Amino acid sequence: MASQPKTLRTFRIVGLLVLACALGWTGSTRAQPLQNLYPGFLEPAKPQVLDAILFGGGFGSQDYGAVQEGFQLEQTVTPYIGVVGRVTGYQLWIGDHFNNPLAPSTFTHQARLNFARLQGGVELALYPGTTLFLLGGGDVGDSSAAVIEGDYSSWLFTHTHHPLNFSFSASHDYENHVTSSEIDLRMVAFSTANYLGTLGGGGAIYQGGQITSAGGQGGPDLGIYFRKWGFGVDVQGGYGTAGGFGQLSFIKQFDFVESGRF
Amino acid sequence: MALFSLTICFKPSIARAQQIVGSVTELSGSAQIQRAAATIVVVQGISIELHDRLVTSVNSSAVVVLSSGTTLTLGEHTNLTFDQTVTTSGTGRTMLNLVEGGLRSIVPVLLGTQGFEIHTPNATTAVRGTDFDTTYIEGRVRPGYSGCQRYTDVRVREGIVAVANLTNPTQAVEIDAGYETTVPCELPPLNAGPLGIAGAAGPGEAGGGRSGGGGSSAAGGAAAAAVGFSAPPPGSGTSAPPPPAPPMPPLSPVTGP
Repeated sequence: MASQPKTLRTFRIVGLLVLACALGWTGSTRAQPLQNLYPGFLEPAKPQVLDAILFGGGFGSQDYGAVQEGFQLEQTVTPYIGVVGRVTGYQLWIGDHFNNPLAPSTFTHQARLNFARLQGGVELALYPGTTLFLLGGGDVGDSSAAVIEGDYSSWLFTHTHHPLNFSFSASHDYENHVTSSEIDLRMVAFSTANYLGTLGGGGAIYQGGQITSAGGQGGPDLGIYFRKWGFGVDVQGGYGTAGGFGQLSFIKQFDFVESGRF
Repeated sequence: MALFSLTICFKPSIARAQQIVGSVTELSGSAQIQRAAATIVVVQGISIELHDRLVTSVNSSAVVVLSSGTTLTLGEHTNLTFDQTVTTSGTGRTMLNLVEGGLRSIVPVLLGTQGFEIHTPNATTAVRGTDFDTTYIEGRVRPGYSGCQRYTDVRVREGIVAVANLTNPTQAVEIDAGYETTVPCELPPLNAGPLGIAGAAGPGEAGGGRSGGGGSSAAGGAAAAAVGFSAPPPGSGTSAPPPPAPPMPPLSPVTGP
């Protein structure tokens, strides 16, 4: 019996991802026959590329705070499929008034939970500009949960000055039985040779386990990407179940082309 | 015999009469110059003459500075001919023919009668003082282009570049700095989109496939648009930045502080 809710949640996540894919697909500016979408489907990717991405950030709210840091490796296999490995460290504080998302222990709180999340899976390029990550893994440290995660992202209206990005991320924790999801819609505000800025909004919603009624938060976000350094920063603020919140995220991206250009 | 003598005496004078249009200032890997029937191995500092064909090998690149002050950076596996160029004091236009591969062009502000054009087998780009990349890729199919196998990608860093298909030169699309476009087969250029998002490839990048064009950061800025964890662009390398786990609620609210 216990496995039935888990199965249901898994189906819900998969269902939401499929819905997100469908929305992105129909929103694509070019509707093409299937045979034109995946030319050379089984051929090795050319060039083969290894991406290494460092990321980090913090989340602070009136009720809890979290800091995360990690790296991700992505290796191309075919033009449409890649393998992904991700390691993330989390520090979670529970208390109140975490004004600084990068230093939530300012108010003498100690990290309530420290754990690392090890994930692996595949990256699927569903359409140019549209990707889906399917990941599974588990936690080590103060958490030992098994987790599944799906991350979907799609760029729409790419041949305009202000393309839109729709992203949807969902994960389920099999220890506390909480399903979390995050939805964001961003627009390219400006693009120069060196910078790219985005404006948008989004939020997160979670429910499950001890959280009997859905909680979440949302608000506007602002991002800037420095092309030359492959470095991006994103800030978001807003209000939700945990009160007012602020979130800061950053990434640093490295590409290693291995072989077979052109 | 007299004719033979005339020939061997005349040849050097023909060579001397050739117009030097620039020189190779940097070389990584190997490259060749095809000059008439001769093939010359490129070394740093070698002069480029009008109508030369410069070909870079795999994993090679070369920088050419033209007499007009324009700097060209050729990516690997690039085939470029110098059809017409101006000298420092000259007027007229510089016309290059990109047969294969990609190059970055940094063009100084030109005089009133000067122009700078790059032709590929299916497109033409015309600029006046700018910094931009041109890449021509043939024999590869990209998703969503109905089997087309010829693409010219143009990325603009500075200035404005007018891009048109050779089949209809009057239907040009102007690309501003920070934007890019693609000319597929005989179709008109696509409308401009932000660098790294609209799917164009840069020099040294294959294009197509999962990113729809953009490859690595070889052209500088190809990894654009990774704003936010979950906003991967099609052109940012071949993949997306990692979305983080969404902000988590307390793992066990019942036993909170």
